[in-house]
Amino acid sequence: MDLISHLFFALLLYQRFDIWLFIGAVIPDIDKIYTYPKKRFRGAGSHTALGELPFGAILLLASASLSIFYPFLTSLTFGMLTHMLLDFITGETGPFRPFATERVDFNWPIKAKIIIGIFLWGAGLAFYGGEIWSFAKSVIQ
Amino acid sequence: MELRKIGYSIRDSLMPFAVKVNPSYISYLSLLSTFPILFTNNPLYQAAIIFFALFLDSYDGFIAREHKMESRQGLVTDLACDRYSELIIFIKNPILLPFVFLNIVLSIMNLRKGWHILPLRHAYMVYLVLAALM
Repeated sequence: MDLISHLFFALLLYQRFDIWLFIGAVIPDIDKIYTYPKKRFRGAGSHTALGELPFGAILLLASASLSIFYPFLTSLTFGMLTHMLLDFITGETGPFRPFATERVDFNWPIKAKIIIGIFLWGAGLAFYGGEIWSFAKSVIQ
Repeated sequence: MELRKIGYSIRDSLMPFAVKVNPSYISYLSLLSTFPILFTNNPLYQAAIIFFALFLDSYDGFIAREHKMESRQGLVTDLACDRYSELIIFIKNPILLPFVFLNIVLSIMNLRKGWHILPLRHAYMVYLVLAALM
């Protein structure tokens, strides 16, 4: 799914606006952000191993452990988990990559993915649009 | 392996009927059914949500066995859905995350060598019920 859907999905599940949540929701796609300006995608549904269970869980574990000392990491951890979840639900992933090569895909028709995206954008904006707007305004000022 | 077969036969005898659908969709439904746990703090509700997810998790295996649809792809889907489901349940209790990580390692070993996986959600459900009753 696209980044905005990831952000709204994280927000809807966390039920609280937090910039660290957004950063966490973006981290597993860090390679894609890097490739955006160069328009060099590695194919639809591509992932680094960071977005799959084994390495993703190591990241989650590390950030959850450190959240005892740095509370903002709780939101970051949650954001990362929701990213992994949404990609697993809607796209083709290799959940145990690189230790098992099998890929899982629920074969959603493209229309269903669009509907999920519209739902996430709509619900996210409806519930948290105000908070996002006031945060954006405070950043601009 | 024998213990596992006995476990399957007991669970299968409790299942009402086998609908002919792709078992992966039931695994998927089991994962989705865990989501409401993020919206409640009541231990009894949480236990009920986990119970329903566990029922669906058993049901997918039952359907696969009944309709001879067992496959490695299905096993991977089932294991991945279970691990994600555990992550959702335990994300609010970071102290339990190492066990989820252990289960991810055990899942990989299950795929390679048939190792068993810790029944984390079952144990947590029992804990929640006890916590609610006491």
